[in-house]
Amino acid sequence: MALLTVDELAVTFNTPTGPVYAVPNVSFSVDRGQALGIVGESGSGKSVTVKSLMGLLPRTATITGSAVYDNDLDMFNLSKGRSKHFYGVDIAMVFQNPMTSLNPVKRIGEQLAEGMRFHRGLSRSAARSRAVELLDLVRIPDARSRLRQYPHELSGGMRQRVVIAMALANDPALLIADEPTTALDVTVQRDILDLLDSLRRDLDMALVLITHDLGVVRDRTDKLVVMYGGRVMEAAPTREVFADTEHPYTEALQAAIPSMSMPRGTRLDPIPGSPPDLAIKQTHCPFAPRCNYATEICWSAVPAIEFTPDSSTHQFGCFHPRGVAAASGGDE
Amino acid sequence: MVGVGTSTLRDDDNALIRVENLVVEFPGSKRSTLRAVSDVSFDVLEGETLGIVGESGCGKSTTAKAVIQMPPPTSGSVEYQGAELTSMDKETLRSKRTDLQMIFQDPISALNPRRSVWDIISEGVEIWGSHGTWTDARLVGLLESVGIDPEYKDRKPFQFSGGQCQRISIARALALDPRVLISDEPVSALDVSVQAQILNLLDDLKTEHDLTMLFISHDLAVVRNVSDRVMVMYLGRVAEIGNADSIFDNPVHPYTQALLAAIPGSGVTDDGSLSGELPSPLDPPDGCRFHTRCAYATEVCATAVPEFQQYGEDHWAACHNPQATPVTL
Repeated sequence: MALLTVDELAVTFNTPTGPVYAVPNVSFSVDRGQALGIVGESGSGKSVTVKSLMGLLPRTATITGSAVYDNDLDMFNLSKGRSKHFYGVDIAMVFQNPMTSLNPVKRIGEQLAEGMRFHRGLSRSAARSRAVELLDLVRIPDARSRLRQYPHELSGGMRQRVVIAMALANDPALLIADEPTTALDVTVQRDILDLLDSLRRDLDMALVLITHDLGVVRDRTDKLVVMYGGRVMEAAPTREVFADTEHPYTEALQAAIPSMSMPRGTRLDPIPGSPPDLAIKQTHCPFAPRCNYATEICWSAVPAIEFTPDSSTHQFGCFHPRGVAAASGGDE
Repeated sequence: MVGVGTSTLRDDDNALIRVENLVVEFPGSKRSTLRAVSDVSFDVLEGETLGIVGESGCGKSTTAKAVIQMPPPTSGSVEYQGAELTSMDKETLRSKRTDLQMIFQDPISALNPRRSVWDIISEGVEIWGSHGTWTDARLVGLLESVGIDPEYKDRKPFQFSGGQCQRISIARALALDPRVLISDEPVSALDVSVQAQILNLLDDLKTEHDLTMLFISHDLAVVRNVSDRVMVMYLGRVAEIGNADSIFDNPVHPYTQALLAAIPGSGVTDDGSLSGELPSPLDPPDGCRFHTRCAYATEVCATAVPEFQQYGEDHWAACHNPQATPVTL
């Protein structure tokens, strides 16, 4: 059962120099307890997509399309009263840089308690004991004494754990993590990803993990959405994305990344050119200028990607798919 | 120790850079000392690429910067072409620096936003005057070779993407025909699709200009792609050093193994993952600096600093409980 269904979402920013079509068209869904990975480079629209869902975009943004939470709640038309206790309660979010998510002049304990006191009206002492529980949950040693510490007294990995604990304070059904480990060392990254994974299982929480790194989502998500130029290129169960890659962009992305199994000095296959200019309205496949397989048709229309909330289907928006589907006639 | 001693240095006349017992310390608050680099020795042969890996705070950037004397090390020796850089007078060092160039992680902040591309890349030639290969005319070709259309030479950095800015930084670094290129996380800030372009470009230019490289990165797969030799650092010391294939295929030091296991998608499960936090370089642990997080640590690790032992023709590690048997060659 889909917990969150995003259908034909489009976000346009109105800037002094004209509109910027940051997200022309995105659809995806997340089931209860599911882990969804959203992969894309900078400018692919992945962060704008989730920020629009969280109501975090500036007023210059125009949002169209729909986002439905739990089958009947229209997220783009929340009443004031509902939205006050929606964000941070039903859906919570973790950002890239833990230092900017935390208030540097407030103690950890206060910051953890704030949301619980506001949303649930917990007393000071109840919020405090719940804060200790949360720090234990995210495996911060010596939780009780941490409450009196300030963010600068913690390492980057510990800070990110605190931010995760804050996000979990009100038992959200969905946690969105936007590049949660990009600012951290690889060794710490692994701990944080493992933590998110086990929390998702233990708390039966859905997780949307946004990253630019295919390796991060590979073993830790059920489903993958690959974005480029503000559109979904390919969406499928994670295993299938890697095993039966259909979209040339997904294929190119994998070929461009050096891996430990490549012998030294292996020439990489870079994706030529640069990402699309989002100030220009797309009339063709956004990847066509950089695609090895592009033909005339790719320059004449944006390939449609049919959205089905069923998470076991393999979807892709391409006139020249690469994998199994190509052999059986494709999806044109 | 995790890395003391000069036994890893090779007896080779071709060593372009030879660093011995390098120590870099910075004053901390309240009379404490931040030990960024403690007794690091390594050499780089002509035409070789040495990859330096480790977590943030391990001293990899500080080590590379100490080579070009920015800032000069607290103690130890840095030889370039047999000449000692640490005791060199300012003027001679300044002229030597044209041989040693550097590119940085964030290409946009590395370029002066108010100056044109041409100003940026021609500044060196302007200062030193054109002679030999140092001519303005050559710079046009250089721009082309890094993949920037010379027609755009009057544009400013903000008119370029991150990848293009990194190309401009590379052109600037190569303008005075250096022998050594120090690259400090040159692709970390770039998108994966662009990262491969820059890595291939560096590979081409290395051959074309006969460059010797120090390549710093936290991304082991990138380092594997470019390096002949690798130096794994932990908290200011060297854990393991040697031939890149040998180290990546048969890591001996528990820290190197943990780093490799931490790569996302490496398929390695919990085994050997690091526990605990990186200790503060203001107060590094005694003995082997890694012992507080090491799965194999024993009593001796807390007290005695391990010496380097040899594990292959060009493979050294400093560990009391190595995950292989040392060899004597």
